[in-house]
Order: sequence, then structure tokens, then C-alpha cells
Amino acid sequence: MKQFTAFLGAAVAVAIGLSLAPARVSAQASITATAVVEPALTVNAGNDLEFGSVLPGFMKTIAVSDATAGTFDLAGAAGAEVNFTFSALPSDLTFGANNLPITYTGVHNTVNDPITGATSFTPSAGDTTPLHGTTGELYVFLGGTVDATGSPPAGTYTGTVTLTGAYTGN
Amino acid sequence: MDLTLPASLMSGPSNLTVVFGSSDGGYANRNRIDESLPFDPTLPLITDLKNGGRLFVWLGGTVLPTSVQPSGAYNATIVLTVAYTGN
Repeated sequence: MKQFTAFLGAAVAVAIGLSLAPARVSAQASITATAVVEPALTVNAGNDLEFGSVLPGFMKTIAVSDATAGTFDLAGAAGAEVNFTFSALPSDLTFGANNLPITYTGVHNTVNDPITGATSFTPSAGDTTPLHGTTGELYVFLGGTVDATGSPPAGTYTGTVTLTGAYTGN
Repeated sequence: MDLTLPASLMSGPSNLTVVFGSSDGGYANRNRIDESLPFDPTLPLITDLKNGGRLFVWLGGTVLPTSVQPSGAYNATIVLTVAYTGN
């Protein structure tokens, strides 16, 4: 019986405690989470790299600033850093089973100018650089030298050059 | 303290996944992020207001745009609800 009484006492104490507790009041505030997703990077082919006529026994060079230099342009988020590489950069142009060795030179610029403000890079390595801070553009100019000193058979030699670009995230 | 967090930010019909890591929340009794303690913003947090009766809360997060994520401004609302525990 004593034991029962003690239990009741505890029950009453709990009930009193609950009745005296302050009402639970909550407060609330909101903020907005915002993220601006920039345009995807695009790469466009411009001019082909055209060597024109090449005489057997000679080398022929097209400078990056020549009208027949190869060009690409990249476009994306203004000021974003991109890495570009040539995912295809043949060491020979081919005509059937015949090869014509080729080497390359490259510059890039955030404006369409291969001279003023242009930066040289090694085409086999590519480069990492920011897009233009306002227009989000980058121009890549590709020159090269074909070596016909081995007197290759006459014909039209070709190869495909492919440029791949990607944001670095910076 | 309880945060209502979105699973994605929206831009029209497009959504952008957002995740909150276990230490993306921070809180401190002063407006000093360098003094903040990390907390998991996906879980309720119980702490003291201490002297000054104020609590500052910081929230980070990570958005995960896909490679074909449409460009645009994505947003969502984050709600912070607080209540005394009575202690």
C-alpha cells in the first residue's frame, strides 16, 4: 500500500510539471538559395587550315596570322576558365597510303585577332585560359608546316583536327 | 532549430540538384564564422543562446549541375524554424 501511495505522488508531480510548462512558441524566417547556371561551353569550327599547293622537295608554312590558318572559337560564361586540347591532331596528312608530315603552331586570344594580345601555346599540349570577361569568347588560331621534302606522290593530303574544350570550374 | 531544405533549386521547369553535407551548417553566439561550430543542417539542432541571447547560423551547400543543365538563375526557399526547448 505504501508503495502504491508513493507511485501516486510521483504521478501528481509529473502532472503539475506539465501544467506549469510555458507554451512552446516557434519563430521562423526564410532565405533564398540562388545559383546562376552559366551557358554550356560551345566550340565552333572556323576556317580550315589550308596549305594550298605544296611543291615536292619543299616545306610550306602557314603562320597563325595567315588568312588560311585554321581557326576555332569557343563561347561560354564570361570570364570562366577553360581548358582546350586538340583531341585529334594528326602528325601526318594522308593521301591514300601516302603521308605528308605536319607540325603545328598555335595562338589563342579572347578577341578575333591572332597577333595583338594573342598568346602562343603548344598545340600538342593545348592550354588553360579564361574566356573573355565580357563576351565569353576565345579564339584559337592554328598554323603549321607540311614537309614535302621527301617528295611524296602528288595528290590532296588531308587530316582532321579536332579541338575539345571544357570549363575547369574556375 | 530546424531547417527546411530544398532538394533542388528551380528555374522554370528546370531543376538543379542541391545537397547539404553533414558539416555544411555552422552556428555561433557571435557573428564570427571563424568561431562557428559545424552542424548537420538536415538534422534538428539544440543549442544554447548563451550571453547576449543571440545565435548566428551559416549554411553552405553544393549544387550539382549536369553537363546539359539549362542555363539560368535557379532558386529555392530555405526556412529556419526555432523554438525554446523550455530548458
